[in-house]
Amino acid sequence: MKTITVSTEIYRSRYKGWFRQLCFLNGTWNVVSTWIVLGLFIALALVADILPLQNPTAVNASEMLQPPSSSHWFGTDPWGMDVFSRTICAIRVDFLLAVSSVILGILAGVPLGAIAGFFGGFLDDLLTRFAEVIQSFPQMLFGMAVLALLGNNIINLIFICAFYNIPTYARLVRSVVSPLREADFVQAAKVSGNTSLMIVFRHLIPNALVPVFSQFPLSCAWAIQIIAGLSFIGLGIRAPTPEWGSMINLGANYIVFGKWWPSVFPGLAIVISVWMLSNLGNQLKSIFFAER
Amino acid sequence: MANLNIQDLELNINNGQETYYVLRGVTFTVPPGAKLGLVGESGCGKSMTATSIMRLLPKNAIIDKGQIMLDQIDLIKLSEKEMRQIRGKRITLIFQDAASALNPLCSAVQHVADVYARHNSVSKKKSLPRAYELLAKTGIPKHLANNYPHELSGGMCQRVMIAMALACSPEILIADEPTTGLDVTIQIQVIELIERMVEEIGSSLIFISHDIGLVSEVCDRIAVMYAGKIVESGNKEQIISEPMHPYTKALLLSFRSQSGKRMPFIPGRVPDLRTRQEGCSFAPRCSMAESQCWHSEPKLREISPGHEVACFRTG
Repeated sequence: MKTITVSTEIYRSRYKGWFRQLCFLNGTWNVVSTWIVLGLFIALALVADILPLQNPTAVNASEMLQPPSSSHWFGTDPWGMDVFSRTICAIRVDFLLAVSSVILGILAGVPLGAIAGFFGGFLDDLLTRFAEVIQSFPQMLFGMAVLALLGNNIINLIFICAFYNIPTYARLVRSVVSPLREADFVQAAKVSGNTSLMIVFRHLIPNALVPVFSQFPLSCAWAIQIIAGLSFIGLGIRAPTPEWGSMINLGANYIVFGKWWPSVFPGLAIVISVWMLSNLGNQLKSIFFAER
Repeated sequence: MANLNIQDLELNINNGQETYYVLRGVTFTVPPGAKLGLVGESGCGKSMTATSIMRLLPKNAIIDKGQIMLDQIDLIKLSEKEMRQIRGKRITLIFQDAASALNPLCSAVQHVADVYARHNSVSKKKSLPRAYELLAKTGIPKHLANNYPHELSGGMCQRVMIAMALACSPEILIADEPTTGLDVTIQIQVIELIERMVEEIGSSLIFISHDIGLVSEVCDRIAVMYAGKIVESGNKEQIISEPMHPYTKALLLSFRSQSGKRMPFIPGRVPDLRTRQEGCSFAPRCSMAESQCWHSEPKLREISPGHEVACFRTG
C-alpha cells in the first residue's frame, strides 16, 4: 500500500503580528539585524547629549590626526576633533535632515499624485510630464545650482531634498489611485453625496499609504546620500557641525598619507545607515506585495 | 414622495474608436411608493439605466437624448453640485458587489455615519449613535459594527450597504442586482430586508435583476428590457400570466422550465451594440418576425390598462 505523507510546514516564530509576517517574508535574521542596527542608530541619536562623549566641535590643534586609541576610539581629524563623538552626533543631523525633507516631499507629493490620478486628463498629463522633467535632471547638479543661487544653508538643503521627493511620491500615489478611480467604493462614496476632493482625501489617499510607507525608508536612504554628497563638496553643512559628508571631506586629503580614520568611520556610518534603511524599505515592500 | 419619470433616454459610450449605443430610448415611470422591477439579459442596459439616474456615468458616456425627471427637476441638466444634494438624500443606489463597494479602510459604522453626517449637517461623532441604530435595524449587531469590510461576509457587507442607502430615508432606492454573489439563503434574507426597509420609510424601489422570478416576488410592476429599450412593461400579474412580447414569453418559458427536460432557451444573442439596426432589435431572434418587424421600429403602446408592449405582432 502506498502511503502519502503530506508535510505542512508551519512557520514558527516567537514574534507576533505584523513583525512575525515581516520575519516570515524576509527571514528572521535579516529583519532582526536591520531593526537592531537602525534602533541602535536612532537610540544613539536621541541620547547623544547625555552620553559621556567628548565635545564634537572642540578644535584641538595639539591633537591633530591622532590614530584610534583608548582616549579617541576613532582617532582625531585634521582639526583635532574626536571622530567617534562626531560620528555619533552626526547621526542626529543626517537622520533629522533626511527624514524631515522626505516628510515634506510626502506632504506635497501625495496629494498632488492623488489628485492627478483621480481627475486624470490634462491635469494628470501635466503633472506626470512635470515629474518626469524633474526626475530626469541630475539631482546633485540641481542641488549645487540651487545652493549657489539661493544661499548655502540647511533650510535650502532640506527643500532640495524635499523637492526631489515630490515627483517620486506623486507618481507612486498616482499609480495606486488611478486604477481605484473606477472602483466600486469610490462610486459608492459618490452615491453618498461626497465631493471629489473628499473622496480623494478620505477614501483614496488612505488606500495609497501602504506603498508610501514602504518607500519612506528608501527615500530617507537616498536623502542621506544626497545630503552627505552635497556636504562633501562643501555645500550644505559646513565643517565644525558634525555631518558625515563634511567629515569625509575633512579627512579626504590625508588618506594618501595613511591617515584613514577621519574619513573611513563616517563613510562606514553612511554605508551602514543607507544599507539598513534600504533593507527596511525592501522588507516593508514585501508586506505590501504579499497583500496583493 | 417623488415621482421618477424617464423619457426616451439615449446613451452612447465612445471608447475612442467605436460608439456603443447602450440605451436606445428607455421610457418608464416610477410613481411614488411603487416597486418597479427591471429585467433583462446581461448587456441590455439595466445597470446603465441605474447609473444614468445616479449620474455616475463614465467620462466617455454621453446622454444623447431624453430626460430623467425627478418630480419637476431634470437630473440630466443638474450641475454636479446640485446632483450631490440628490445622491444619497433623495435617490440612492445599492451596488452589485457590496464587498468591493465598501472602502477597505473604513469600518461598517463609519460608512453609515459618513452618509448620515453628510446630508444632515451634523458632525460625524454625533451621527454615530444613529449609525449604530441603522446597522442594528439591518441586522448588524453593535459588536460587529466596528468591523472592517474584509472581516464581514458578503451578506453582512450588503446589509451595511443597505444601512448606508437608508441612512437618509431616500425617496427612491435603486437596487442593482443586490443579491449577485450571495448564496440562496442569504439572498432571501437580503431581499426581505430591502422590502421591509422600503416599506418602513415608504420609498419607491427600482429593482434590477436578470431573474424574473425574483423580480416578480419583490415588485408590483415589471419592465422588461432588451437591447437598450423597454420592450414590455406592466403589472406583475400582467407580465407573468399574460406576457405579450415574444421576448418576455421566451424569458418566462426558460424560467419556468421543468427539471428533467432540456431547458428552453432563446436562440441567438443580444444584438451588437455598435450597430443601430433598422426595425425591431429582437427580430433576428424572434420566431414571429415578419417583414414589417425588419423595417420599422415598434413603439411602446398600451394594450390594456397599465400594460405596454413594443411589438407589431401582438395585441
